Amino acid sequence: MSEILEHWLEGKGLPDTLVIDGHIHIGEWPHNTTFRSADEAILKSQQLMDIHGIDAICALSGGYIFGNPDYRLGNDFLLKVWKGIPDRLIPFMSVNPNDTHRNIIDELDRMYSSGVRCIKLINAYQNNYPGVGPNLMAVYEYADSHRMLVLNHSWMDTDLAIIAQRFSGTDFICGHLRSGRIVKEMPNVYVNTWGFHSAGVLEKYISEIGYGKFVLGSDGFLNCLSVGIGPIVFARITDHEKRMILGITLARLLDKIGALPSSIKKKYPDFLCGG
Amino acid sequence: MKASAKMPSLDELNIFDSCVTIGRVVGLTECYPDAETLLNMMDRYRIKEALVHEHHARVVYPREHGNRRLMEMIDGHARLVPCWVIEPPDKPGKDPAEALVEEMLEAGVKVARLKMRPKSPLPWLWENLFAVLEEHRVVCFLDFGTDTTRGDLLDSDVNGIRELALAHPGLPLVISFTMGGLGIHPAVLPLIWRTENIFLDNAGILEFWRVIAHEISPQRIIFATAAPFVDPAVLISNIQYEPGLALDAKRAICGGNLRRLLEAVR
Repeated sequence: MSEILEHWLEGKGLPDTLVIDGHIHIGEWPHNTTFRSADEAILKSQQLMDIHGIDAICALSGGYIFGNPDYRLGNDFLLKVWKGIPDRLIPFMSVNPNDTHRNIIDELDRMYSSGVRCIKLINAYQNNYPGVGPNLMAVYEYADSHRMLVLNHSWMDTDLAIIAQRFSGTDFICGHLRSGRIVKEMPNVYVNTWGFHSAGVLEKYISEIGYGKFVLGSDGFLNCLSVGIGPIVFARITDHEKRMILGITLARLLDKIGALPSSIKKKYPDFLCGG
Repeated sequence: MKASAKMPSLDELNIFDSCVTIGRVVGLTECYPDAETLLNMMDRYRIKEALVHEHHARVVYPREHGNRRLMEMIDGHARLVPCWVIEPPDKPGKDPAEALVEEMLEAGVKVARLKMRPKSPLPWLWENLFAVLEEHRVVCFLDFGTDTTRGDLLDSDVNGIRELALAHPGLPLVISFTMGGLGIHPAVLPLIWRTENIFLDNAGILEFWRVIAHEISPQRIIFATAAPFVDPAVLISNIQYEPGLALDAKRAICGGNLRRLLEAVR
């Protein structure tokens, strides 16, 4: 039996396994379900990581990303929380592509100079701004020239094919479970694992496009973190494949752009090299 | 990394899954066309027992064909507990309802999945059937799902449930298949506060069940994987690693509550 599954079934979390949750929302939120202050977020997010056996989270700024709020407020919150737990949180800044080109670039500059190396997009919830619209193309351009990682809630296949090819030096992560030719064929495209999917879907997609394309993402703290981990742990794949999906693949992507906390590198030096 | 506090093992939770669908479902990656396949899935997820209904009984008339097929499919498998899908007889009066419930009980079926679609919880329509079910304390799942286990509640549904629950306080009613992800109809929490006999299954609900368990009582939540329409790993891990509930509360949700309701059927 899988050692990872055995530990999980016993309620021990994921011992000896590097786990990075690649899709976490943090900050004020329209549903009022997440933390109410940066201090609370610092304290409780660590508790939740500890309970589930998660080393670090990729945190996306909160509810300011939807509709027309000032997304910079969400980024400010994110920076505050990051300051509190720099070893366990990897910040993903946000922009709203409906803003002016100037404001977007200014915000990218502000966050980049604060040390942020990852971007979260959600244009599907921002008046459905086109995935290859001029302001998003400017964001990809910026990411490409500054060696940043880009995660989006979702891209249309046609858009993803264009941007992954044009910005081939940048890694792109689709925010929710999916399969498909583009993800399989483009070496710089990856997928977060969360989706309210039916039985067997994750395994099917892994067999279609390969385990190396998937990275854990639970959509916490809106969801309980366990709902993202459970399907990976129970999947009928090898422990090596589970370890890659639970943390190693994402750690390598983050390390490439200098966004992996040094404490993780120190704790898991062997995981970051080799295949 | 290792978890900071040990959570209960799945075996300790003694899971009685209140919602598993048997039968072939075209288009799903995985389904359970027979008892053996279903039992294999249950072993994999450490599910001790399961309430099972037949897929076609939910989606094809006459429902009794699916219900009968269910009995043949699970015959001889004690871990699989039958659940019939029924709806109110068209004919008014208590006699048709009595005949239906008698047939169920004689077949050894103590649980009914009451299809609330397309016939919504209109009190005048369900009244006779509810009265007979109440006499026997039959456990009733109010099924608001569509072809899958995903559904939604309208204001009129909530009103209808309330009226029926208050009129039949001895009848356990489990609101089921109200896929809500993070939240469901905002009146569900106040409704459960205001009644003694309404429960909620967590099929399709990632977070809202927690609010009921913490604010009212874990006794009001009935565990369901909704497999195969939902990956069982999602909801099983969700409860196993819930940080805010004690083992007793988790065990109640995972099976204790349902077992208690089944024992009361007469």
